[in-house]
Amino acid sequence: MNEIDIECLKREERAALKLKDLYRRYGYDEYKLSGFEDYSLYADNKSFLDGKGVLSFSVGGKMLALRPDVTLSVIKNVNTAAISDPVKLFYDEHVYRKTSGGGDFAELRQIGVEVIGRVDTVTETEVCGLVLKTLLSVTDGRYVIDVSHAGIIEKALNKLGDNGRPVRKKAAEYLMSKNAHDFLRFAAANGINKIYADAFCALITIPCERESAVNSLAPFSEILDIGNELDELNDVLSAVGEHACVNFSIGGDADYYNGVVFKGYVEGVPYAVLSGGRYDKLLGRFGKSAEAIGFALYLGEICNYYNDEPLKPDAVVVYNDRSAKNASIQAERLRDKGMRVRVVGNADGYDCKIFCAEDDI
Amino acid sequence: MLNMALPKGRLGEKAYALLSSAGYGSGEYSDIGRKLSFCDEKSGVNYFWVKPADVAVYVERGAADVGVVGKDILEEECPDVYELNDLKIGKCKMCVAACKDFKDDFSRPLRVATKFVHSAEEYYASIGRRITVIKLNGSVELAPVLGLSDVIFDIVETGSTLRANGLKVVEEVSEISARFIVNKSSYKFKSRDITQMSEKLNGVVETC
Repeated sequence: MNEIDIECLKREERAALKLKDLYRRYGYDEYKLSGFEDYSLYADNKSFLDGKGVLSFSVGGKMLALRPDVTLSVIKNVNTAAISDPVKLFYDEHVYRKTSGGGDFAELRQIGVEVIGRVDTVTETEVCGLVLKTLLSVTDGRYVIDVSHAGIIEKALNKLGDNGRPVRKKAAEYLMSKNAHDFLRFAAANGINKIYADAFCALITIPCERESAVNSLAPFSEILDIGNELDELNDVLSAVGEHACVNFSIGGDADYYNGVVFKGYVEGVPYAVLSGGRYDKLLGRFGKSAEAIGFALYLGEICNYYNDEPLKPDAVVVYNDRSAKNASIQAERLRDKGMRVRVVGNADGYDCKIFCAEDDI
Repeated sequence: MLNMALPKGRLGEKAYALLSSAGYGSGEYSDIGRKLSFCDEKSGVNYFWVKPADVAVYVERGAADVGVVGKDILEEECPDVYELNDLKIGKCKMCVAACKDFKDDFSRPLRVATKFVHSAEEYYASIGRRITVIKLNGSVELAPVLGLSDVIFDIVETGSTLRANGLKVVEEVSEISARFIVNKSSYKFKSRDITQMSEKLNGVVETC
């Protein structure tokens, strides 16, 4: 059988092949999911889905759903009791969810990596390296990885108190939209201690540049008791290198995440195209005691923003009534010589070699 | 080059004046505002004027890197954007208004006429009041007068339209003003230009 000419493939297919090869070279096993999921899996973990919605349907009185996410299914199925070494998996699946920017439901290709078991510094650094290589595989190098830490956000939110009002929810909303002006008004109106309000405000307004970002957090390390978390964040920033930005506005729901959280952006695509992080707490929600880290690349969303040049044939074989039978034989001979050949009744508009099926090739 | 979406009309005019004070923009709004787009090479900004309700769509979907939009629209549409500055222009209030003799009847859902369906639902859910929303696209003040609704949920600037139609404010819900918003991806790749614009705007707003 002939080798596949990878350049003939569409960008999405090329990227998927490259990524699967990459993950295999790191010793990750491919994980295939089957069928549909119980709707309850998503209904119980709604906020993990980040507002992407679920398409559900009923079969014989049982509510099922088209999968909007892969991580939840992987976690549900992996038997953590039997894990000695970390399970290292990758997947290439289609998911069904709302597209970014308030779009409708769509079928989108998603590729990702999950490591479940013991996640030490080596593993965390390895996954960060894979995040970088994943984004590099689908871009020309213009990408940014926003890094956050769910533990820092959680501790800063805890210091705000609750006062019987949904302070945490509102404060988290202001953080997500980098809205410091409304947060400060809200903090004053709700009697939030100014020291903690200022500390939270520092998370909202953190500068993009890595060094300034780390320096701006230093004064709040003791106030928020986030020394360990800052060290973890720094380790990840070092692993990610020049493409990293500290940005707490990418969120990291404390019900699921417990450590570093990241989101990837590529130039020319207005939304995040990769997201992931450390999600030991999500495993805990399934009654499983293990550590976990992973990420997902929304390949379908990226490819919506890239145009594939239509692939032109190297040659066309033109046939008429008399040469119809000969056309496919002639075309096959040319293909055996490594050419891309289209059989046509009319060669008008083709800018390539033109053969007549009647002629000997 | 930054792409900036501005709202057509009075708010856009005020926003453009603010940008000019901050060192952006060139020329009079009366000349430039007639064009749908205008490129200011000197300050590196490409402006385009769109319907106020569409500014957030342009920014969220990346057609514009930054934009100016009313808080009322942000609260209604909840676009996934950063909101970096309160520009403190186009100030008004989101209010509940009703006929002067209005008295709430808690035995049935309150009929609320509004353009801001999501915001109205959020507000009444937060105070635990059952409502029926009547979506209108304009002349909302007529709804209680004609018995179409019990109250209206709308923005109020001076209150003169309410008074002219025999209505009064029964609840002030939130303060509204224009906000400087940014596309989340643009913020990573044009961070220097965007941060600079945000800081300059802040400087102008603080001195106003």
